[in-house]
Amino acid sequence: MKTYPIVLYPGYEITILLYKDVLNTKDIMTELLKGQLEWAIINCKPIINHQQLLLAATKAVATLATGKLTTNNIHTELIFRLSPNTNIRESLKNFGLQNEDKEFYIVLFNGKQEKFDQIKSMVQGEQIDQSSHSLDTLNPFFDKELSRKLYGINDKELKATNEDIDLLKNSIFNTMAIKGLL
Amino acid sequence: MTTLATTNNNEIKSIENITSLPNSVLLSQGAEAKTYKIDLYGIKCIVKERFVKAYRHPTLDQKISGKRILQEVRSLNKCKKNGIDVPALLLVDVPSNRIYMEYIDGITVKQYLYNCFDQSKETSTTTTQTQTEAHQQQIDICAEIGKQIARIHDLNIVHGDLTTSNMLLRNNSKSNIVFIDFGLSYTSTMTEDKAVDMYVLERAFISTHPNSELLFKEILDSYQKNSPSPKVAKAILDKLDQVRLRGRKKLAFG
Repeated sequence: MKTYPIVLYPGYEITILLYKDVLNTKDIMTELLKGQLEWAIINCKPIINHQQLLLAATKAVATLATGKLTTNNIHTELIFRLSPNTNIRESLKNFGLQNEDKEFYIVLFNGKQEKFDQIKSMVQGEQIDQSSHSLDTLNPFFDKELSRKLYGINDKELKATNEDIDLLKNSIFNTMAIKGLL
Repeated sequence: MTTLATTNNNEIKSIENITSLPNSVLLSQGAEAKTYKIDLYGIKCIVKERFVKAYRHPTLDQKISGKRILQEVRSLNKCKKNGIDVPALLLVDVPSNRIYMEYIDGITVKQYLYNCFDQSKETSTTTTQTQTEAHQQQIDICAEIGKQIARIHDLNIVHGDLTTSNMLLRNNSKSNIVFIDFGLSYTSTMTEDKAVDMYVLERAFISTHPNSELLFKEILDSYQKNSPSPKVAKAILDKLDQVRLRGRKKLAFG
C-alpha cells in the first residue's frame, strides 16, 4: 500500500494497492457492476509503474475540476484517463477489471481506514507489499508487449532495436497526455 | 477533506503558482511563455506556461493560447511517433495554459559549437590534431542537424523557430539531437514554408556562430542527401535561394 499526494491539486492524494492470486474476481466484478465501489480496480498488466497511475489520476482530478468528467465518477475517469482510446467501453475493457484477472491494482482517492477495511474483506487474495517500491519501480506484472499494443507504440518510435525501458515509459506517458487532443 | 462529488467542484483548483511546488526553478521567460523545471512524481519535468496577455481581450487571449498549445503538442506528438527525438509530453492542461513535458539533460547545440570553436582557437596549447578533431566535431553535428530537419520537414511539420538554442544534446551526446520549442510550429506541405524554415536557421547561424558559411553548407548538403524525398528537398533548397534574395516575408500587395 502506497499513498502519494497529487501535487498539482493540493488536498488530493491516491492510495495504490496491488493484489495477486485473487480467487473471487467474479464476485468483485458483480459488486463493481453495481456501481457501489468507491475505488478503481485496474488491470495491472499495461501499467509500467506508479508514475503512470499518478499522471492519469492528475488528469482525472483536472477533468473533475473543470466539471467535465467524461465518465460517471472519478474512479472510472481514472481508468478512462489511462487509456489512449476515447471510447469508454474499450477503455474499461482494456484497463479495467476482467473476469479472468488474478492480479490487479486498486486505487483510492483520499482513502480512509474504513475503505481499506472494506477492500480487505472484499478481496480474497494476497496484497503485495509495495513498501519498498518507489515511484519508478517497475510493476512486477508489467506486460511490455500488451502495453505496446494498447498504446500503439511502434518500432519507429522506440528506434527499432532499443530495449530501453525509459524510452518505452516516455512513449506511454506521451500517448496518455495527447489523448483527446488530436 | 476535499470533495470528490461531481457537483459543487468550484473549489477544486490547480495550484496557481508553479514556484510554490518544492524544487521548482524558473528556467526562462520568453515573449509567450515561462518555463519552469519541477519534480513531478519523481520525473524531472519542464512546465511551459503561456501567460495571459493583459492587452488582449480575455476571450480572444484564451482562444489564441488554447490553439497554440494544441498546435505545439500535436507537432511534438507527431515527431515523437515518427522517431524524431523530442521531449515526451507528460500532461497537457489546456484551461491553465500549461504543458508538462520531459526535462532533457544536456547542453544546447549552440553551446556545443561554442565549445568546439574555443578548442580549435587555442592554437598555442593544442596540437593541430585536436584542432582538426574539433573541426570535425562541428561538421558532424551539422550533418546530423541537416538529417533530422529533413526528417521533420518530410512529416510536413515546419518548426518555425529553428535555432541552435532550440536543439539540445541528450546526455551531451552529439548523435542525439533533441528538438525543442515547437511553439511556433505548424503543418504545411508548401516548399515555401519549409524554405523559410531553413532561412530562419541560416540567419540564426550567421548571427551566432563563427565560420557559419561552412557549417551551414554542411547542413544543407546533409539535408539534401538524407531527405526521404530528395526531389522535394531539392525544390526546397532552390526555393531557399529565392527566399535569400527577398527575406523571410513574401511581398504583400494591396
